[in-house]
Amino acid sequence: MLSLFEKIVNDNPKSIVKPQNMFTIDNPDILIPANGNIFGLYFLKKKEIERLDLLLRRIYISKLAYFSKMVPIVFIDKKTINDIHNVDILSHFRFIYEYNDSTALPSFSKLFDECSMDYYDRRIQNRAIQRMWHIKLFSEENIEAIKTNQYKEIYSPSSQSNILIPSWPSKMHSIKNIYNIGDDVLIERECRSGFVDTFENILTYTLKYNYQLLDNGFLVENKNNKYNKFLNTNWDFTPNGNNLYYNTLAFMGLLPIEVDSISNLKKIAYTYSDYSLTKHRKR
Amino acid sequence: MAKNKQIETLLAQYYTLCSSCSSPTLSPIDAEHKIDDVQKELVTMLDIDKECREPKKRYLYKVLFSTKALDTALRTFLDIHNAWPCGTNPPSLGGYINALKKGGRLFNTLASHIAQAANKEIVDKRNEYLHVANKYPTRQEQEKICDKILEFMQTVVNLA
Repeated sequence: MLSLFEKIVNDNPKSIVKPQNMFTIDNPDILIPANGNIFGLYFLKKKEIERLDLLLRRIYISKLAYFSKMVPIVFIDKKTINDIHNVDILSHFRFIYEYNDSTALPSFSKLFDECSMDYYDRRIQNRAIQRMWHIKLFSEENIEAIKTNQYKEIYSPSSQSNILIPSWPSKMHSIKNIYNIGDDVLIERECRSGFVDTFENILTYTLKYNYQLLDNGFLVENKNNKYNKFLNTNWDFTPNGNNLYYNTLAFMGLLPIEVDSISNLKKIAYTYSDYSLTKHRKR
Repeated sequence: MAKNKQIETLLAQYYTLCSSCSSPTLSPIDAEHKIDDVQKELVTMLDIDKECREPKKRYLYKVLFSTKALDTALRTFLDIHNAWPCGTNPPSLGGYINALKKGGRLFNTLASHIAQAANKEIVDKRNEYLHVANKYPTRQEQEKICDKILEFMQTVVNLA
């Protein structure tokens, strides 16, 4: 028997399965154009059922990365709804579609009136895109300074072993493998850890450091969002390498660098801050 | 495959814009046809690998087809929002980027540092390789230009 996912795809010839935005690894599972809008359909993955933060991150980053007429709808299998910790947070949104095996196919042209609302101030999206371009331009112009091939894990007295951040649906959540250094958020990874988990942790952390989810479902910027943030890593993040992962970090306001000491990191921070001011003056 | 999907995702957003076309000279159907043309150019850009064996020509063709796609995508975006007055400006990529920088009633202004980057990394590079004899991009240069074009197209559709 076909799943609801398959039925929706079969019923909508213009649907795009597993779409891929240029700016982020976070995307809906299906895109469906209808009534002059595009619906972004999110089907919960197993790990998102276990950690709702991951789903919320996927929705909000993709909502920021796609154009304004993308309307997110979350599809929740009624069988799994009891497994979702603190599912009440989803009631902030009007875009929940609960289903079971006998649920009829949704009519997307009718759904639009129920779902259409914006979840953020459009200026937030503009700022995220402008900052991404800014970071990419700086990286390209200063590639030798930021990519030294001399990566070392940097420690300072203020480094924490694990960062604690508030979880949207529940209590504080511990983020592994990344550290704060100093007042601004300067983050590095631990070489031994796996890429996907660490990358996802970094994204979730940065989104929540930069933005706040309000009770009405809106995303607003935190005052932290203005700080420059650097990710010290020997992963091969270069502006001309794997663009998707690089773009994803830059879209969240993180500049990947590769240095061996706090003093070198501070030099880059100073150059970047100067570069930001120069660009600002030119505007 | 990944590039295909990125292009499909990008153009789905442009197609959706077409239905809200406010131009007196361009109907929503005509706008969709323009985006069909953009899609054809981008598909050709991807498929040229199979048809052209000589690397330097292949890289040049990729720059050619992707800049043609960008040219039409930007013009269509401006037409959809009625922001490209007929007869006042000669059509050009640089002109379209300037018009985006000025902004419009129905879309946000393109930030000047992004406009500057688009001019430097797309328009200037296009001119360098397509207008100068015996000048060809390397594979890395071609990939960078084509990626920048797709990223710029996503940036522009997000202005709406």
